Amino acid sequence: MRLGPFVLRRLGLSIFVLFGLSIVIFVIARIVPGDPARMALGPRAPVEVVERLSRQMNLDKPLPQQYALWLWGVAHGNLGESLLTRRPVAQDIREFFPATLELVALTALLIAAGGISLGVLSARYANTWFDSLVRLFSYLGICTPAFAWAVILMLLFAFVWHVFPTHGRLSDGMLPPPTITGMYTIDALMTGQPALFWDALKHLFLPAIALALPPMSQAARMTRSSMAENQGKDYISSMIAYGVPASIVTGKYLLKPSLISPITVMALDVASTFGYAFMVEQIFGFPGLARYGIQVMLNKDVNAIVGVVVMLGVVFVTLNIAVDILVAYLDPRIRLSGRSA
Amino acid sequence: MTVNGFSLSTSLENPWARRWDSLKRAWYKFSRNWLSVLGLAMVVLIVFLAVFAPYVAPYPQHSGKFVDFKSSNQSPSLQHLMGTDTMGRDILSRIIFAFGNALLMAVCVLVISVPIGVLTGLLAGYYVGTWVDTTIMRITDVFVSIPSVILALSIAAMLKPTLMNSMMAVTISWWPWYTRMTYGLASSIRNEYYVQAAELTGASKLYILFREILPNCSSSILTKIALDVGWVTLVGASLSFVGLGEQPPNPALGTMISEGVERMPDQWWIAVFPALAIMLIVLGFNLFGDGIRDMLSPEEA
Repeated sequence: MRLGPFVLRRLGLSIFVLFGLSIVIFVIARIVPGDPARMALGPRAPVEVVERLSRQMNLDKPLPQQYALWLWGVAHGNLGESLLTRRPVAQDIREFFPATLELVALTALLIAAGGISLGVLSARYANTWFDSLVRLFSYLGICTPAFAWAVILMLLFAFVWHVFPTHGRLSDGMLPPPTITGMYTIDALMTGQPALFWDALKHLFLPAIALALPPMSQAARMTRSSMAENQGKDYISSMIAYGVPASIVTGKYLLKPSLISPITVMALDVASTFGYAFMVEQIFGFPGLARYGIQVMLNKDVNAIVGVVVMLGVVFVTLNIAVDILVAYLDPRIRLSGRSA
Repeated sequence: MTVNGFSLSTSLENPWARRWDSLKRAWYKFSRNWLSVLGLAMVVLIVFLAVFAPYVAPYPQHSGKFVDFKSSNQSPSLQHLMGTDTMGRDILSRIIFAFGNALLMAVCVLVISVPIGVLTGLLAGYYVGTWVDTTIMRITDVFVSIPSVILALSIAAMLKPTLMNSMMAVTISWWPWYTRMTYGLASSIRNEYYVQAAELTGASKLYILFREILPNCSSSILTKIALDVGWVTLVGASLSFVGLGEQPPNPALGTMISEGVERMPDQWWIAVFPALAIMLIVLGFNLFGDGIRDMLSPEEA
């Protein structure tokens, strides 16, 4: 398998892309009208204080030099100081990112499990009432933005059917587990506190469902259509003719090629989940990176905005590489293309 | 002479009859799926409400700065079909006016990003494998290296929160997707025999780009535009939801939802009806876009 050069090429491209992204966002942050230092300190701060902060943020230097200094900082794990929380941005991100990662991971799990199984089932029972039901459901799912789902779920569960909590990461009175990964569910498991694990998981559940519903619906539709497309292929017919059990035909020979395009789309959707999490975390009062992102955005905290965007860029790019490798594994046409060339 | 309702003889002689016939054929393909017709109906309704908002809204004065605390937080009734918000403004009227802002945003974003994206995509696709391709597509890669919602949010955050600036933010994150799509189509079309034939006969580059390649990309582009009206509205609503779009007291669907979330569950109507309005827009343009795709795709049977 010639995965090595393939991955290396993708990696090189990703690093280039991340540089590009950081330049774009850095330049926009610096050229917009208004002095970031003045905005951070408020209109009544004395001029000397504003000037000192300006100098501290290197705002008095030319733009390329500012970028170089910023890059130098990043290489040393220093993203600058948040003007809102008055702490290093890197520290803020370290604190808030695990919560969002936990949420997005559960969302991804729901998208994959729900989307693929609904798609497979509706392809299996194509043109029955079940298929129509899934189709109707997926139209509804696709057309309803995650934050609208969040509102609906909140209404249902917080006030009609009290099964899931609708605020924060833990119930009152529960102490967060000692920080190992920062993800409460995993930390609780690692320190052997099942009750705490269950509580943290319950808090994740509603935001994750709200985030998962739109992409899940899309994945279900894509899986169904690519299953239906492959079902008519000759190799499937001949396998059925040879008497290969239906479960093996569907589960192995039909599913694998049919999953390639849904997986690519799902990965993009999971990445976009980080974006829609901005709204959903806000609604559920969930203290994650996205909610932090909104707060720094509303306060024009440029250092933190650049930090959050670049951080999410890294996540997105990594996710894309992972999916490319997965797809290459699933699709021999891609995996082996390097060999013949 | 008519066959299946399409007149044959007239269509050969009269150009108007021919146009009418192709219109009828398009409508036939569009309306084969009743969902597309439903989508069209929803789109027509939304556009109608948006354009004639001042005449159809029951309380046009409630669209802006208006306070009537005596009638605040009223549940849906015959006077206020969708209830009133905390300022005592009629929610139905505000939704109708918000449609206008949402559509204005979608139109502005697409009017700018579609030509930029299509032009760059055509160029990169035609000069595939050269430095033009590399430059354009690597720049595009940078812009799609992060979900467009996040890019739009962060750009909007650094500008002043106005409808104009949020449009700009969404446009910056939107055009690369058109570049990518057009590039994919154009780079395969440029190898077709008719393009090579045109090159051999000495046709100009402009002619090849716009008369040979572009028309063969147009059905995918048009379908994407129809679908994107819904998605731009959604991203716009996301921006205004967090407070980075249209500012109060101007009506925006996202702002209305975020105001309503604080009043849940007792005054549920404040958040729920604007959320339904967003669903109506996205669903309507999605179904409509699917219909456009059916209409423009070549006949398979």
